[in-house]
Amino acid sequence: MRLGKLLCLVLAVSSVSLSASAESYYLPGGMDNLRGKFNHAVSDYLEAISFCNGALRDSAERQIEQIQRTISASKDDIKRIYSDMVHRMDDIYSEFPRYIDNPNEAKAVIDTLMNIVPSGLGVPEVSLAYSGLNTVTDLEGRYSTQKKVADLLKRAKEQLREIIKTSLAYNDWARFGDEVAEELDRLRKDFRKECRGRELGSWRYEDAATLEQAGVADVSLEGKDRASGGIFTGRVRNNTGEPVTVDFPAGAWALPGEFAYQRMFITEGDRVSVPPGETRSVPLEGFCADPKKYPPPSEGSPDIYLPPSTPDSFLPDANPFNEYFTCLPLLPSTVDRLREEGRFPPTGLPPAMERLTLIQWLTWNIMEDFNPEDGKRKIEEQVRKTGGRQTPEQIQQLNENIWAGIDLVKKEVTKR
Amino acid sequence: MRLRVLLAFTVLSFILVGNARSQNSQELKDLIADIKIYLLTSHILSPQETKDLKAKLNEFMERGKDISSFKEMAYLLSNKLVRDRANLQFLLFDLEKLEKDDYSQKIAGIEQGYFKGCRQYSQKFISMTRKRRPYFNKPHRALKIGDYKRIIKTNSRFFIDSRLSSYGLWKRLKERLGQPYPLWLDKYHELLKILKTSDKEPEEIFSVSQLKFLKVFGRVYGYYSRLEGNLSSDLESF
Repeated sequence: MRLGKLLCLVLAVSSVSLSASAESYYLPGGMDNLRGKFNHAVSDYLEAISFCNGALRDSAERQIEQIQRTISASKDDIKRIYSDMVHRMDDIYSEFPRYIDNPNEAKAVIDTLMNIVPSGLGVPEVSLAYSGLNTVTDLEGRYSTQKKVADLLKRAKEQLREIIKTSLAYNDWARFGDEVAEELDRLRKDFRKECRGRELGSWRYEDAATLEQAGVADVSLEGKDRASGGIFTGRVRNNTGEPVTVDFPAGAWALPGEFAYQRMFITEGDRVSVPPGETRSVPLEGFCADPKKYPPPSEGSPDIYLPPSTPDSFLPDANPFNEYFTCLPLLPSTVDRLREEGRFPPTGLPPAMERLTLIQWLTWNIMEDFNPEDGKRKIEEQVRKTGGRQTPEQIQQLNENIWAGIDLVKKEVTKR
Repeated sequence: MRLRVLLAFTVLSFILVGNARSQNSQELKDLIADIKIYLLTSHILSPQETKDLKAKLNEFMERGKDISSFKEMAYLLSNKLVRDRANLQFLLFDLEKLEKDDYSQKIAGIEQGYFKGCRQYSQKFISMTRKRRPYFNKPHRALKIGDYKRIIKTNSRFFIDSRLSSYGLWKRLKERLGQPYPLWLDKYHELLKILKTSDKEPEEIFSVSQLKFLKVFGRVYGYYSRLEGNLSSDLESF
C-alpha cells in the first residue's frame, strides 16, 4: 500500500517536472534546475516517510525551505526587472507629447498605456498586458503616418512584450511556490500519520573516534605545547545534514599519530552539539601520560585522535597496577570529590596547582615509575626555577603531603 | 467451482508469500546478529574471520533494506576499526617502554629499536585509516542508505586489505613478540607469585625497575591477551 502511494507520488512529481520543463525561462533563477532539486527533496521526504527517518525528514525540510527561499528571491528579482521596465515605459510616455501635437490626444495615449502598465512595484495581470498589446496595435494603426509616434509605439509594444514575458514568469514562480507549499504540507501530514511515535532519531552515537572514522564528523585535537592543564582544543565539524553530538568525556584518551609524542587523557571534558554543516570548538583540559615524551606541538601538530571513549577493559589479574590503569579515567572526578570533602592533607599549593599536581603525578606513577623521590626532585627544581625560599624540611613536608594525597586517591579510586 | 479454486489459490499464494517474507526477514536478522559477533569482539580478526565477515557484509549490503540497520552496521564497523587501532597503538606504546628499559631488555635479550618496524607500520596504518576514511560534505541532507554502504565498504578495507590492515600490523607484532614475550611472561609470573605470597605493598618488595616492569608489562599482557582473543587467562589463578 505504502509502496503504491510512494510510486504515485513519485509519478505525480515527475509529471509536474515534465510540464514545467516544457516552459523556457529567460529570467535568472533557473526554474528547471530548482524543480530538479525539489523533486530530489520530495523523494528524500518520501524515503523518510517510508522508514520513519526523522533525520532524513529534517534534511528534506531544510532542502525545501531553501527552495522556497529561492522562489521568493526569484519573485523579488522579477519585481525588480518589472520595475526597470516600467521606468523604461515612463521614458517612452515622456516622449509622446513631443510628437503628438494635440496635448489632450497625447495624454489619452499615455493614460491608455499607463492603464496597461501601472507604475509601482506590482506586476500586472497578464490578461491586462495582453489586452494592452491590442490597444497599442490599434494606436499604431491610427499613427502609422506619423513616423516618430509610430516608432515610439513600436518601442512601447516591444517593451510590453517583455513585460508580458516577465508577468508570465512571475506567475509561474508564484504557482511553483504554491505547489511547493502544498506538497510540503501534504508530506508533513503523511509523515505525522505514518510515523507518529516511531521516528528514527538522528545519529545517536557520540563516540568521537567512531564518528570521525565514519566520516560523519571531522574531529581534531590541537595541541598547545603543554603537558598538563588546558592542553588542547577539540574541534568538530559536522559533515552531514543531521545534528551530531560528540563527546569528549573526562577520562578519554587522546593518542598522537606519531610515537614521538606522549599519550594524553582528558581530565575536563565536554559534550559538543554541532548543527548540520557547522564547526564547534571546545577547550579541553588534559594530562600527559608518558613522562619522557614531548607534548604535541601547537603548530604542525601531528594527528591527535581520540580512541573510543569506552575502551575494552582488561581481564582482572593479580597485578594491582593494571587495576589502577583501568581506573585512570576516574582520577579527575575522584580528586575533585576528595578535595571538596577536604580529605587531602594541606599542601599549601594554590588549589588549581594542587589538583593538577595530584592528577599528573599519580598518572605518571601508574604509567611508569614516578615515585616520591622523583616528586621531591620535581619540587626542588621548581623552587630553584622560581627563586622560592622553601627550606629542605618544607620541601620534604610538601612532597609527603602530596604523596599522602596520592595514596588516598589510589585507595578511593579502586573502591568502585 | 472454478471461482472457489481461484479463491483458494489466491489465499494460498498470500500465505506462501507472507511466509517467505517473514522467513526472509528472520534470515536478515540472523545475518545482522552474525555480523555483530565479529564487530563487537575485541580480538583482531583472523584472515578466515575477515573473509567470512566480508561475505556476510556483502550479503547484508545486497539484502538489507532498513536504514537503521545500515546505520548501526556502519557505526559498529567504524567502531571496531578504531578500537583495534587504539588497542594496537596502546600495546606498541608500552612495548616501546620495555624495549628502552635496561631491565626488560636483559630479560628478553633484545635491544632498543626492536619494535621500530612495527611502530612505523602502525604510524602508516593510523595515518592511512584517517586519510582514506569516508568523507561527506552533505550539510543539507541526512545520510542515506547509499552513504552508510560507503562507510561500510571504505572502512571494511582496513580489515581486509592485506597491504595495510589491522591484521597486517598484528601479524608483524606477533612475529616480533615471538622471542621476548614468553621470557617477559615468565618474569611476570615470577614477580606476581612473590607479590601474592607477601603481605607487604609492592613498593616495599620490589626494586624500581621491577615495579616499572610489573606496571608496563602488565598492560602489555592485558592488551596482548585482548587482541589475541585469549580471554581464558593463564594468570586468573593468581
